[in-house]
Amino acid sequence: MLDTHLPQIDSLLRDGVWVRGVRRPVRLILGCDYAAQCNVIGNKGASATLPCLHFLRTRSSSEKQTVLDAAFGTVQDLVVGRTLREATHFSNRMAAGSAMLMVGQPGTPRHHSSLERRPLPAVHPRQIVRIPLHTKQGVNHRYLLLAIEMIMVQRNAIDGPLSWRHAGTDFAEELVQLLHEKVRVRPTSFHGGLFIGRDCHTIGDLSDVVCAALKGKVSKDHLDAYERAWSIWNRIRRTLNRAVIIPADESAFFRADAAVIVTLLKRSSPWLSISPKLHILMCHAPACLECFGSIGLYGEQGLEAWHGRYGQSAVKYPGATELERAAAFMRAMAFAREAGADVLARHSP
Amino acid sequence: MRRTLARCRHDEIKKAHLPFPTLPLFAAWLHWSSRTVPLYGSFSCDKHRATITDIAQAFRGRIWAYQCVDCHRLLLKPTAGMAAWQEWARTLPPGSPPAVVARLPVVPRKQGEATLGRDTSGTPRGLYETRCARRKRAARRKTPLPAALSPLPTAPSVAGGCVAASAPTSPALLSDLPANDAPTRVSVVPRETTVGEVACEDCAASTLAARLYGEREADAQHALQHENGLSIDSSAAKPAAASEQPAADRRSSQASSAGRDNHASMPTPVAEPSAIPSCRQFLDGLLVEIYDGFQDKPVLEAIANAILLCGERPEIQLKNKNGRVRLYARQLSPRKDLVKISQANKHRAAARRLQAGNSGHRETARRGRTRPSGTPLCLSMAEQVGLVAALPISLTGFNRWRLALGGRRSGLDSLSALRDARREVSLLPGKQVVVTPSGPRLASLAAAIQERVPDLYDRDLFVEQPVRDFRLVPAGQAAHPPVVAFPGSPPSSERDVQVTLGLDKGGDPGTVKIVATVINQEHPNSPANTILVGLCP
Repeated sequence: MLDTHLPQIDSLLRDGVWVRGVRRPVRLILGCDYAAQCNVIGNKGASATLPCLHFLRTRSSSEKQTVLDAAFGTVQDLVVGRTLREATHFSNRMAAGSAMLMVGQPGTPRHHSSLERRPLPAVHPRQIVRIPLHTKQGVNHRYLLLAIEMIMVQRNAIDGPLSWRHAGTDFAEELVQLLHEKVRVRPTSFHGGLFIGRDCHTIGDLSDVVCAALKGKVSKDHLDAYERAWSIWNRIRRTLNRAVIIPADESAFFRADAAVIVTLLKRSSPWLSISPKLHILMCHAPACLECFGSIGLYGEQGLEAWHGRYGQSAVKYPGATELERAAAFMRAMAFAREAGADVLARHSP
Repeated sequence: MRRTLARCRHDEIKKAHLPFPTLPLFAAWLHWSSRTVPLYGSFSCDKHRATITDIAQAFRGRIWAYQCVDCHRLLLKPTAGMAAWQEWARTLPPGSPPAVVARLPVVPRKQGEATLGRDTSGTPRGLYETRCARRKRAARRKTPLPAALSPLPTAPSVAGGCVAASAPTSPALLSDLPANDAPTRVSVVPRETTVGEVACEDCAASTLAARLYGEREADAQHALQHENGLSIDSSAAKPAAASEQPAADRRSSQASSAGRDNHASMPTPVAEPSAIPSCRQFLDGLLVEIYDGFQDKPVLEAIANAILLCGERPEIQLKNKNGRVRLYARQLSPRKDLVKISQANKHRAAARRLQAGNSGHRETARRGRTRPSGTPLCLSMAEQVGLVAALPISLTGFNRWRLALGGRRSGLDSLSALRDARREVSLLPGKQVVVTPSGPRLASLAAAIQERVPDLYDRDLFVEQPVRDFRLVPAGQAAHPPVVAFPGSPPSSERDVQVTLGLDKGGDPGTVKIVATVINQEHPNSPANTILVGLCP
């Protein structure tokens, strides 16, 4: 369905926007969740051998693998379904004019050898928003899982391999009760039963409650690293989700914290796998923050809000079928842009 | 002159609004009624009706009685041989001068004849011990509080009499006090009050009592002279004094003379309750703007300060029984260095309320919003079309709202005009919707953004978002363009307009939405500021 808008996007990027007789260029930024980004770019996603949208890098990067990739290419190079037209489509869109000279640089077709099919819009990889909303939810959920995993590792080392599963189940129930009674958050019925939105911030603010529940149940090294990881994450998430222009010094702290937190987690918990979100957080989010000045400002919050708005308002619009109701909703929302938030704020008492 | 004016003003008010006295009168009543009146006088002069003649007949030689300079009662000084004399005097028939004098209270005397001298009849003067202690306390209270610490200006002390130590009565209140009303105001106490009790307010009395001290003393001297047989014609000798003498003093003297004549020994309740209004009457009078004159302003301020602002003083001064004064100052200190969001919001709300109160802004409705004004709305036709679509309401419902708000006066256009405007808006390229089998979508995304950005410019809502130096540029390639250049695209030297494009599936029922956002505005992630490009149910 995005394919139908491609001519409009190309026209917008080519012609820009006319403002008071001056033509201003348009910078298109891709802002949606990770699955949608992979879908738009043509990447195979988290299951691909090269999950990252930016660099030619395998999931388990090593020097030997890098040498092998350079010598024999990756799986993406051997995809049979990639036709010549598909292979050159991205090149035609991305590397027009002088951009053709940048062979091997980010944004060039060779660099995006992980693409399994042609990208839909020509969005430069550097102009992809780093999914702040979903990163916050994912990392928050990963921290809670990590607490259970530490319990299981500790019980496995003390009581033997047969007791870790039972210990993990018990602590999971204890953790759920703790979050409900003391932290006062509850998981949602969607997003896989995760904590979303403000609840994630509440858990981060009261992370000492979770850490206190681990005392005496995990090793001291694990507990210290876990507490430090929470403290670093609490600093990161405030910068990551704040929809304002971040000062330069805070951006510098964000870059340092993003590198430290992934290193700390991997060192203290070797069984922990670096997910694409953690990879984006460590490697690409600081650069995006320094470039645009903010990550939360470009987040997908506005897109997610439309789900709730459509669910509440669709029944108010006439239509025999879902398609007709959706069409009526679309027309009404097109008219409603004339009375936006600024208009209502101007006339509010 | 001032009293004459005050009396005239009082007469005018009394004629116009009979239940409402002057403001000073109400203020004084309020002042006195808000404080517990100590009952210092445990017995009255009428109870011991010994006269100077009785004393002269009872003590043929040395006189053991003396007259208190404070309450002017005759008291006995404990002396050697007095017990034997009292036993002798009680054997005499009741009513005889020695028997009457023997019933006088025996109290020690701190300052005697050598200090205070004798009166005109030769009776020694004195001050018994309890009175002396009260006088000392009154002298300590004589030191006035600093003006900044007192809610009201302190009354000036009266030389030779009691000192108004703790009565914070406004000088303006005293100056405006009519001569005929002042004693009435002092003597009227909400509870059952006697003239004698008020007269014995001694050292804790107000300025009014202090002012009355001299007059009362002169009246007592006059009574003593009358008892001694000195011919004083009160009707002839005090015509001018009677006009100046307050009514309560006249009642006091009448009560004293009545006691001396053994006609009425019980205290008489003061019978002028109608002169003092209740709080309800005063507030009613205040609402009908009876008290709106220039002279009433300081009194109203004094009342407001005494009642409303008594708890907001920066310093509180308390005096212990031993005379030590302790000063308590208000000090603000943060209870917690770091508070959370909800508590911080409460603090901000409290600060806003305080600021609104201090700056004198008009009363605000809840959540700090002011009440809507009665001016008509100034919505354009397109804005009205958008409002009808966003709510959503039907055109019939919109017309009902328009009629309810006053029709044409509401500023909303008629139904026919709204239909025309809606038809006109629907012809814009950015508003047209194409329905495909996969779902509805905007006919032109570029046109929608082209409409939105100049509109932000016109409303002065466009926010520039400069892009900083790009750190991802490899070393040696500083000339890397920040924006991918397309053939025919505008030069990158211009500041760009940032547009995000997102696609996501979610909601219940699950649908795929495509949303575009112009970042260069406040709150770009608000749904009202985004553009719904496509919808796939």
